[in-house]
Amino acid sequence: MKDRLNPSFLAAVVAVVLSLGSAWVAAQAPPASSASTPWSVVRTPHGQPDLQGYWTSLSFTPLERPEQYGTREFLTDQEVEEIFKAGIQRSYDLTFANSADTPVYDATVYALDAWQNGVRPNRRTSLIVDPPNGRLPPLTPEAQARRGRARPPQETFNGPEDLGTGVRCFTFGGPPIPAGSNYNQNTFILQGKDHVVLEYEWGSVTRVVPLDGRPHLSRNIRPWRGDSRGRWDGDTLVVETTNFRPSVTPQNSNAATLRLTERLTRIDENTIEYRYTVDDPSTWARPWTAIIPLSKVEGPLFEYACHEGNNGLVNILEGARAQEKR
Amino acid sequence: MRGAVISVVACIGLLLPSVPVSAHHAFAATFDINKPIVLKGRITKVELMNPHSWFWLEVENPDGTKTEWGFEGGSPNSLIRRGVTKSSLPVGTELIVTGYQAKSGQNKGVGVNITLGDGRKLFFADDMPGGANSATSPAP
Amino acid sequence: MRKRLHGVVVAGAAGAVIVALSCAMGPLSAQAPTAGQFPPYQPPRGTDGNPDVSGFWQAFVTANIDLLDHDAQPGPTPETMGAYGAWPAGQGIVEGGEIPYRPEALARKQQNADNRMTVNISSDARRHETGDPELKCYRPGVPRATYMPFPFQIIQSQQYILIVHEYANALRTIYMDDHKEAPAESWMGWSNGRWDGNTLVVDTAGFVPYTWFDRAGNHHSDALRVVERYTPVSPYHLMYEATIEDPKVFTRPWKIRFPLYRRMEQNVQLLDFNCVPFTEELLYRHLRRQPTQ
Repeated sequence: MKDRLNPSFLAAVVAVVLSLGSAWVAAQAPPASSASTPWSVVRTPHGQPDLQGYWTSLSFTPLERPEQYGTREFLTDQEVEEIFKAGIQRSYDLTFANSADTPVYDATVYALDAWQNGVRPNRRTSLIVDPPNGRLPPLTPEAQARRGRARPPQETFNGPEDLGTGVRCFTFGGPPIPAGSNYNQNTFILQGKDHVVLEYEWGSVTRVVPLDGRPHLSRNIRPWRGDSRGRWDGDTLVVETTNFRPSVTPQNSNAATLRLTERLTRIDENTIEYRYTVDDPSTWARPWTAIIPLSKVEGPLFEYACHEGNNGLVNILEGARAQEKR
Repeated sequence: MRGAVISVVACIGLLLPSVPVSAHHAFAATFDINKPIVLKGRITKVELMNPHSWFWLEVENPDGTKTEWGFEGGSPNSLIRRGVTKSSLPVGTELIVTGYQAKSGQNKGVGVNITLGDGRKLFFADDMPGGANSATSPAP
Repeated sequence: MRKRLHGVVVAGAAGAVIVALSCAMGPLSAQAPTAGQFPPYQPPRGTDGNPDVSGFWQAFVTANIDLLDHDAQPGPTPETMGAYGAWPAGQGIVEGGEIPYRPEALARKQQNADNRMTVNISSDARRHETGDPELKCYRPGVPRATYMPFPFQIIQSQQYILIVHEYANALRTIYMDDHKEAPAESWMGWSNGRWDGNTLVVDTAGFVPYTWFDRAGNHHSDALRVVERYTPVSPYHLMYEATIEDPKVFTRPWKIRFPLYRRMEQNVQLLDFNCVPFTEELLYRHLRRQPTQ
């Protein structure tokens, strides 16, 4: 039903976006040099480094490093361009996955395709930077057993519990802040005098992080976004999150033993380096760390009242019931 | 057809699970690929809302009767950042919609291609960064 | 130096003199406060020179049940809920004690009240025609979110003030400069704010027509506009006033007023009231697969 992306159109799109993205590509240098960046920090009226504004976590970079790169952390200029171009094509194809295959709306009509939403090229071969092979560490035996017991994705929909927590509008946005080429991957950061707010567009999920050194909640209280505590380490905001709930942990890790540490550092006018470490000794033999570039975009974030507008869940169940009668 | 859907979902399987990667599977569960529809009608209501916008049309049937149809579209958040508002698509505007009907059998579907009565595509079908092509939204 | 004295001198039978003194040294008297009265107060200011209204706040009126005067009542299904499900009495918060409905809108209010537990979830906006949206865990809208029995947190910067509600993680973004009209309808509205002396004035419009003001079925249309005034009147209180205007539903604007209390528990923070999972059975059980005979 839809043509493949016209090659000269694709080349023009890539050229324009690459010119926008050159600051990020140039700013990156191996390895972990964010602490020595020469950008001079702008501060909020309360004296904190200013992380405020609207930021996209759109990225074509895979979480895990493709094996062909081995331990290579960074791409060549040519590879950056090729991978970015392939990412735009793949994102476009996903948008048009209906091509006689899937009944889905044309996302470019709504300016929802990644290349319409500020995705930038990324010099890294993977989001994961540690372990050095850029891949998730091996699972513990306990975690392997847990995966073996996991419920497979449902093909029939007998009730809402057969659908994912996203379709049921339970929660979104981690933490950690999701990356990928999907739409509405925008985060609004606001800094008050002693709290930092991170509003994630998908689901309008809002985390409020206190900076006053108070202790975490007791283990008996488990918010859907976990329980976060923040502090400044030089010019880096460090956020520690515990008290996760099962079913909303990264990579299906164990909520009871999971600790997440996020580090946000403004490295220039248009970029925050968002580095997070996942530490769950009952799932992985060692912690792992990923870096997602957060790139400045225009606001606003419009209200995402998921549950209130959840026609999709009802349509899916109505469809399943109608099909049973046939 | 099924295989294509699964391979598309798998290629973004490396994303963190809190990203709603089930989006396309949810569409296949909702709308029927075997029930394509083409309808022409006038807008009675525009819902710029999440998770998905909905457009409601009054469709004139061949026998002169009228039926209300609803079409699902995308989240409006990116449109809003580009200046689209609830007034951008006035009631009474003629639309031609191609899509697929809901599996429930109701007069609802997913709007794959939506054009205005004069053939222009709705909103930003041909947009490009830097404005190299003009947007094709209707005049507010 | 003479202090001002309020004194009572009593000559007792034994000649004892008892003097009760109260020294008024400044604006905060040693006497217990009088309900409804706040001595003059200057709030601390933030770095931008505006009052600092950040922190954790909560209302303690029962307006979420009914904006007008209401007696205690059994609540839904008392045969299983007993006293757990009963609702307390409360004095109304509406200035003048009446909500000035247009006649057809008053009929609608009664219909809402009669059908507040009637839930019919379809895959379209007809789902909003009956049933209290609070029952369904939908966002409460404005001003209902302000007097729900849950805390909210105000986080303040010069350009934005955010109000985060514990109830359903509902968020209000108040734009303090760069005022715009609502681009589309939302449940919590589009808010433009400014300072008027010590008062934060928030002007909100662009509402979906689906929220109610309370469980008694008080309602509005998409023409709703709410102008709120938040005034610090002590270190621990904001005085809250809201003017509600909706020419499609009411014959004139009307006002509500009540204090907001600063939550003072050590380490108080917003917890999670994610009621979406709690409402699935209510909303969707009619769509479950039925066992075959």
